[in-house]
Formats: sequence, C-alpha cells, structure tokens
Amino acid sequence: MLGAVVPMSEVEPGCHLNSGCGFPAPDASIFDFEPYFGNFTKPIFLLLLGSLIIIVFFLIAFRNAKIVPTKMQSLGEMGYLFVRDGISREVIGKDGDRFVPLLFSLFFFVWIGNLWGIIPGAQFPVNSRFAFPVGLAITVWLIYMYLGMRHQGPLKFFTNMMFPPGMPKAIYVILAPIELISNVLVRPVTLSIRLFANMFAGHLLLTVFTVATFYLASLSFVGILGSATSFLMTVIFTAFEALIQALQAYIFTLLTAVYIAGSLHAEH
Amino acid sequence: MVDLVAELTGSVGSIGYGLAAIGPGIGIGVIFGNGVQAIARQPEAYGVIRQNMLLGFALAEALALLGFVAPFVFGT
Amino acid sequence: MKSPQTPVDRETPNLAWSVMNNLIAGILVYGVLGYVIGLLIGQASAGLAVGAVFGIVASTYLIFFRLRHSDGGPNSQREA
Repeated sequence: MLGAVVPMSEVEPGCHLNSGCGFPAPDASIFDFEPYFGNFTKPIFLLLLGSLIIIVFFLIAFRNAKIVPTKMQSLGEMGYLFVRDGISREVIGKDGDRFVPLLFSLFFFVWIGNLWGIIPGAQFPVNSRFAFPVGLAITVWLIYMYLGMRHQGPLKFFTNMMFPPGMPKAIYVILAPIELISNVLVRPVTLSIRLFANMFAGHLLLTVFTVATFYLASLSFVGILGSATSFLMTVIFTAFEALIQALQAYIFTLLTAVYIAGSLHAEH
Repeated sequence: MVDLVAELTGSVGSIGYGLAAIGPGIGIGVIFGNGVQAIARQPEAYGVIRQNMLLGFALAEALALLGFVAPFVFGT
Repeated sequence: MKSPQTPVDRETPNLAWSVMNNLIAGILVYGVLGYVIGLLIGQASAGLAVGAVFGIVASTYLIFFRLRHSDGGPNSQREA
C-alpha cells in the first residue's frame, strides 16, 4: 500500500513510509478518546482543569487587591479591562457593566478551552467536541431571549424583531419570517458552528502535519525534505492556531455582547 | 456500453462546495482589505465606506451560501 | 460629521454581525418553502433552487434596507 492514503483509524500506530504502509490520514477518530472511567474522557478532564486554572489564577490575582498592583494583579486587571472596555462598553455601552462578569467568564472559559489545543501534553482543543460550543450557545440563547422578553415585553420583543420600522407594508410579509428565523434559530447555530468548526479544522490540520513529520522521517532526500517541511508547517500552524484560538474566544464573547445589546434596546 | 475513462466516488458535493468557496473567499478578502484601507485614508467617510463594504460582503457571501445549496439541488 | 468612536453610532457594527445570519435565514426559510411546494408539484430540486435564490434576493434586500436606515449611513450624513 505504498503511496496510498488510508484512514488513521484503520492502521496500527507507528506506521512509516519505509515499513510500506500508506499515509495514515487523520480522520474523525482522533476526536474520540477512551474514557478514564465511566464517561469521564480527556476533553472533560481538560475542561475541568481549565476552569480550575482560571478560578485559582484570578483568586490569587485579586485576593489582596492593592492600589499599587502586583504582577499577577496587573495581569488579571489587564484581562478584566480588556473585556469591560474592549467588548462590553464598546458594544452594549455604560449599562452593560452588569454583564461584564458573564462576558468575562465566557471569554476566559472559551479561551482556555481552545488553548489546550497547542499546550504540549494536552494537545486537544476542548471546543472541537461539538457538545461544548452547543452548550455555551444554548446558554447565550437563553440569556438573550430572557433579557429581550424582560426588557421589551414578551410579545413586543418578537414584533420589534420581525417588523423593523420604515418598510413598505407589503414587504413585511416576505421579510418578517427571515428576521424571526435569523434571530431565534440561526443565531445560536452559527455561534456554535463558528467556534466548533475553527477548532475542529485547526486540530485536524495540526495532526496532519505532525503525523506527516513522523511518517516521512528517514535518512534519504525525500525523507529529510518532506519531514523538515512538515515540521516547519507544524510550527507555523501552531503559531497561527494560537492567534485563531484567541480570536475565536473574542468573537464568541463579542457576539454574546451584540445579542445582549440587541435584546436590551429595540432597533429603531 | 460506454467505457469508463475515469470515475469519481465519495463525497463529491463537499468537493463542489470547496471549489465554490474559493471565489467568495477571495472576494471577501478584497472587499474588507480595500475597505480598511479606505477607512484609513479617509476616516471621516467611515459610515459610507462601512455601509458599502457590508453590502459587498453580503453579495459575495450570498454566492458562497448558494454553493452550499447547489449539492442539494443537483445531488439527487 | 461623526467620528467612529461616538457612542451614539452603536447600531451599525451590531448590524454587521447579522448580515450572515440574515442570508442563512433567508435561504433556509424560502429554500424549505420552495422544497415543500416543489414536492407537491413533483419538482423538489427545482423548487429548492428557486426558493434559495428568492431567499437570497429577499435577505439581500433586507440587509440593504437596514444598512440604508442605520446610523452612519449616507442619508444621516447628508443631513448632518
């Protein structure tokens, strides 16, 4: 099977070009893990560990808050001010300050979940399992639906959503369903898929080049050239992933803020 | 009986969508790249530039989403 | 003339994020509608195609309309 591409789940580990087996292309099986016990798998463990790290870090950072901050405290304040000024006040405004705790937790929760993808030893972005982004998106959906019904009235919320003022009457018949589906159904779907797909594709890409580095490695022209190129690509894409991970966490939080802002004030 | 020269099996629709996403990808890059450049050159025209930028984005994105529907239309 | 940082101009950036959602929703609503009508007349694929194109046209009109009437549009700038 020299030169063939076979799914990774169908070959035994340790496959090499010189041992005459095909390239073990990573497939969906790299996202499945043997549970440690019960249903407790590696993604759940990483998620809990990540939450613990965030909690401990910010407890230490803000435990003895002083006017002249220590290094840890100024680092924590930097993260807090980024979420408050860069996301909350920019999108929602001054009255969005009561949502800063939510946005702050969401940002760091998503970010550390993504960050596990490039941390050596862990090497798995938690949010590439679809259930985690879906859970987060459902939480966001419940929050902005509740806030919209609370601040605009249960029925007024939907009519404000469906009938933006200033349109010809006949057009409403065509456009009202689009607005309703867009705000109620498509929003959480795109929110979760955007995060999931980015992390899934990123992890797959990194695995392809890492596997290729080992698969091609040998003391020949093809071996050295192919292996070195794959290794270089792994390094480049790891740096690229670090950027994407922070960006996706930012976009997730920003969109949450945008949806909350849309629920607080009707469009006019 | 017609001799088969070449045959393509597997998920052809996903390959089609991949090809269909190239054009809008380039288009969206050009739109936002030039939009940011325009805002940098003339910050006071921010509103007009962003409005037209988003309109162009919507038109390019519509093609990408149409490519997503095409496999469903021609698939069966 | 408003500068980008004025807190009043907060709706256009929020509108920007709904562009893609509106397009998807347009295709979804009218694609499904077209598919169902197509099933009734025995041309499901053609119904889906027509519905999806109609949905794109409708949602593009919606986006165009909302952009034209949002803050920072050319209409509001001309008055200022």
